[in-house]
Amino acid sequence: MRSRAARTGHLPDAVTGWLARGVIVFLYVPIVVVVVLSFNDSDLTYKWAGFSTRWYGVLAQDTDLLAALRVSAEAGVISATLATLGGLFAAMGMARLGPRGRALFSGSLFLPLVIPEIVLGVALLSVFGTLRASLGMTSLVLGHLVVTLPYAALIVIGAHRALDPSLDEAAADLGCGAWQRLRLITLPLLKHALLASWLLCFTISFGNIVMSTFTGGVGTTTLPLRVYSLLKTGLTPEINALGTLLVLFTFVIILGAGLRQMRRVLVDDRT
Amino acid sequence: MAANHKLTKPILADHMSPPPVSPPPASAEPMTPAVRLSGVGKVFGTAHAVREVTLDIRRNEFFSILGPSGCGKTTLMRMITGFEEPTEGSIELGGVPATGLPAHRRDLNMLFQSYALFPHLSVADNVAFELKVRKLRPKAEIPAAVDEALALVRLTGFRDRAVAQLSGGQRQRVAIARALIARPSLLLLDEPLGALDKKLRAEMQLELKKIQREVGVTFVTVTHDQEEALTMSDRIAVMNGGRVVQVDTPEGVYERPATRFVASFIGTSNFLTGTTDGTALAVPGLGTLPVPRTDLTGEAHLAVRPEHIRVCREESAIPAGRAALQGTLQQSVYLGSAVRHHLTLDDGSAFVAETHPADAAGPAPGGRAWAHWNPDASRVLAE
Repeated sequence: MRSRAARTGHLPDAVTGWLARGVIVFLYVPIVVVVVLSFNDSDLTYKWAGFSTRWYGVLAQDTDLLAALRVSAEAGVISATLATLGGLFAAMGMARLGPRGRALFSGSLFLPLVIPEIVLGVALLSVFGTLRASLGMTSLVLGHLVVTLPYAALIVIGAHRALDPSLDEAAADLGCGAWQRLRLITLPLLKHALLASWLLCFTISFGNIVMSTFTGGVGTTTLPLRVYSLLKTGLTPEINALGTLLVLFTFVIILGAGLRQMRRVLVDDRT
Repeated sequence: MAANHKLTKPILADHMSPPPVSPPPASAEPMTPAVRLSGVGKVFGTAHAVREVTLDIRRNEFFSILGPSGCGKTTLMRMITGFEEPTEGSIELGGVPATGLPAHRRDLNMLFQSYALFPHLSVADNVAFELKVRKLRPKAEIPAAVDEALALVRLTGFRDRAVAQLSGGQRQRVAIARALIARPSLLLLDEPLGALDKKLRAEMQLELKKIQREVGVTFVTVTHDQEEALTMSDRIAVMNGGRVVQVDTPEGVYERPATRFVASFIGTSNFLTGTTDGTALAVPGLGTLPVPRTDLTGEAHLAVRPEHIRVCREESAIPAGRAALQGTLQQSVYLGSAVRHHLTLDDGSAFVAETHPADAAGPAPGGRAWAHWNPDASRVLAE
């Protein structure tokens, strides 16, 4: 941001520099507030009444909220895994198509990205209704798949197309059948993209509200839906405690493994 | 060569296609060729990429398929490797029909133009790849085999490097080691020197030839570079427009080109068009020239290499029995190892001669001059 302004000369350096800092502050204020208020010894989320860890204790006892967390985690893991596998199959299938087939295929894969989720949710609910399928974990995961699959396909197809096609031919030439080529060449070369796809899909699924509203069943209320419904009965700092734990969990994952891979795939920053 | 590791695998039996319609006469040839192409053609949609290619590639031969881009040479090679299936004709590898045999079941390897080294594997793992996949050696013997293969390409000590750490020339050597470690009967090389700089290319030309002699594997290279083909090959197939127009030794394609295309694609040639009676060629506007004895009559073309032509001022200086033409010398260019004379003949066409710099000084630029040559050094061509 800074160097760009310096080059074009529209804004003085200092102003853009402070703006950039402001953006970072803006992004992180909610996170910092959640963490600070989770240690609030008050029944209200917005009023400070001294330091306490009691809300973490309350959270540990809250079976409803923990059940919702479990539902979200399960739906996230299953839909992220299925979406990533789907993305892999889509990428490998697309490599066999001609240029016209490829355009048609990728067009239809990515179209759901620009259709409002609420439309997809209503449509999916109608489908389940027509099939007389009961809403539960299966319908929830299917709903999340509709949302996450295009993202998975976007990431994995991009990475697959960047591979030199002669690598696959070289492996065949050196004696590999189709499955061996997948195991020894394609999967190892796509592992960063697959991991990035999985993490992104998990995050999308975990935070999803709209699709979950339509496709979740009675026993499968997800965490975002649960928290949303608490708004009506009144939020307590318990939510902040949960939020803090999730932030912590995310940071551990991102810093642990994901950051470099995520950047490499999303920003195409090859090292 | 009979103990052919890939083709003796029993699993292959199911994938063999029926024998070709007319089996090759076994008695006529003591050794089956490494590759036999019989009427091979390939049609992509409406485009005829390769037409009626019939040729034998002998065992342990360094064979080149030479032609301009788009002549079908790459398609021909991909049909031999099994990446493409011919739409016409049949291919035999080592006397065995290869139709329908997938690439990984053919006893041949390919050196890819991009080298296609596996970026996630070390040099040693790349080189050992085929031995591991095909389980050709016990695990304990693999490191020694890798060292031997790396020694062949003079990369001893590189086994633990990552592919990304290698230079272009080193990558190619690793690719060669990887392709040869299992000693295939045949190695196909796709524009093997195309990605290297000029100096490295000259070095690798000699080295590839040396490696080929050392391992005794049939090498088939595909190239558009005539110099590369002339330097390395035992025989060359020249392709144009999907067809093989001539198969001969480097000397043969250079000295005895079969068509005008070959004469101009390999080296440079001067062409004269006229009518022949078998002993001379009458060129409209230029006169009648003696030619080597030919069975051709009617319209024909004469090809003369610039280096066979001498230039002089006076007609009296032309030795007896030589073909001669008069024209205007436009300029003489000193090239170090030769002097190139650009003439304009009396019918307006350009004519090029190359003489040795030590030869007597020729006519002055701008003046009249004679170009003359030994008729036996020229070629009469039908097309």
